[in-house]
Formats: sequence, C-alpha cells, structure tokens
Amino acid sequence: MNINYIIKVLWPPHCQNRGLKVLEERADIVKEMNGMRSKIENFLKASCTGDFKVSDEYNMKGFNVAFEQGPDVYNFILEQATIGYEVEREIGRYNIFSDKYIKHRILYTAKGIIVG
Amino acid sequence: MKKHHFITVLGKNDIALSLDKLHAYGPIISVCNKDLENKYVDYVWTREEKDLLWFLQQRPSPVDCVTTPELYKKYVFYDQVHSFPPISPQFNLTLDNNTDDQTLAVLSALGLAEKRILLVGYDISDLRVLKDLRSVIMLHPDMKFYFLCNPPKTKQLDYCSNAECVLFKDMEKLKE
Repeated sequence: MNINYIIKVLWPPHCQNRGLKVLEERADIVKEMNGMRSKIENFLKASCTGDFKVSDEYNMKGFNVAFEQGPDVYNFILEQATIGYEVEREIGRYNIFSDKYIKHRILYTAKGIIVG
Repeated sequence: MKKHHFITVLGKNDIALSLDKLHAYGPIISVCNKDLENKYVDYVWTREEKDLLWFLQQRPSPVDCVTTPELYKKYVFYDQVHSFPPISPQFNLTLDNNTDDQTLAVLSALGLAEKRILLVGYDISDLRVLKDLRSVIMLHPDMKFYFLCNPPKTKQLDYCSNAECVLFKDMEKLKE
C-alpha cells in the first residue's frame, strides 16, 4: 500500500491522556476506544475508494489513519461531524522528493478545508 | 520511494529526439511545455495555476505536477500534485521568483535520482541559469550530470568533475 496521507483521529476527550496503568483499571474506557477504532474502520471500508490503514499503535492523543488517495482523506475530514469523531488539525503528506511526510496545518470550515 | 538510476530533465530548448526513446532511460521531469507528448512525461514543473490545472485535466491520465509550496497548499489533496522539495540549508543557492524553471526542475530531480541526471534541451544561454546549474552540480558530487547536446560540445561545464557533455549521437553509451 502506498501511504500518501496520514491523519490522526483524536480519542474522545475523556479517553485522552490516559496512562497504561489507568487503562488497566478502566475497562470501560478501553472498550470505548476500541469501539471507536472499529467504527472508524467500518466507515472507511464503506467510503474509501483507495487503500487505507487504521494504526493499532497506542497513542495518548489518538490513532493514525493512513490513506492512499487524497479525495478519501478530504471526505474523511469533512465527515467527522456527521460520524462523530474529531481529527487533529494537521495532516502529513508524503513528499516524493524528500521521502518524508511533510506536515500541513488544516482548517476545517463549513465551506471546506483550508490548508495553512 | 524508489530512486531511479537515470532521471531526465527536459529544459526549454526543442530537441529532435523522440520522448519514447528518452523515456527508456527513466522518468522524465520537464519544465512546463504543453506541446510534449504527455504520456512520456512523468513530472512537470509548473508555478502557474492555470498550467497546473491544464496538466491535471489531461486524459487518459493527468500529468503529475511539481509546484511551489504556496500553490501546493491549494492542492494538497490532489494525488498528482507534489510540492517542491525542501532545500537543505547548506545549499547556497538563492531561490526566488526569478529562479529559472529549469533550475527548479533539476533540484526536484535530485530527490528522485540515484546516481545520474540527464540534462536534455537544457538552455544555459542565460548566465544565471548557468551559474545555478554549476552550483547544483558542484554541491552534489555524488551525482553524475550528463549534458546532452548536438555538436559542438559545450565547454561551460568543463571544470565540474561530475558533469560531462555528451552528444545525442553518443547517448546510447550511457546505458553501458
């Protein structure tokens, strides 16, 4: 899979910044986090035309989703309010010349997405 | 991203060589030229939005474009649009609005090439273009630059040890 775009989906606010010790004790939060990940994956299966990958690495803020195609990412950002998730205001786009992901600030507005 | 053994940079001058023959060496990156056969051009360097849109609208498949970071911001979600690569701070080259497109195409090609860059139809009649090309060549000693031309051979790159002027009729030897 060619990963051209990476964006982070944020956990719900009460699930963020939870240490591993807390998570061991709070099965309800872990269940909610796993449920969210599954929900996102199902949504992506239904909506993406290109490949995608939901990262299973744990991060206190959220989890990364990788995309092959730009229109899929665009749609994913636009649909966040409808489906019920929030993405980080930053997107990584692969640069073929430097072989690195270059980060861009994004501004999500009712009219569309502006890249800063 | 896989680096290519050869990358061809097509400059502003017309060439007699067919692009399919040139494409056999590896990917081609060109300055903005709408008269070229797009199916053989892998990347086009363009700084104008109208040109970028023209290349994106080509069928059966759009041409990948490399553009300025400013214009790129509008096209981040377009898979065929790429940003001009970040320039290393050690790179002592002044890039501004007057920098020639050929120079920017060569700088882009450096990120895709493994060892060799072919400069084809490259116009060095402008002194700034020549100076910039020399700077690029000298700052990349591990890369070999081949300046292709018709006779007579230019002597303008003679003192760059990693650059060589090759006549079109001899270019087959580069494959060896």
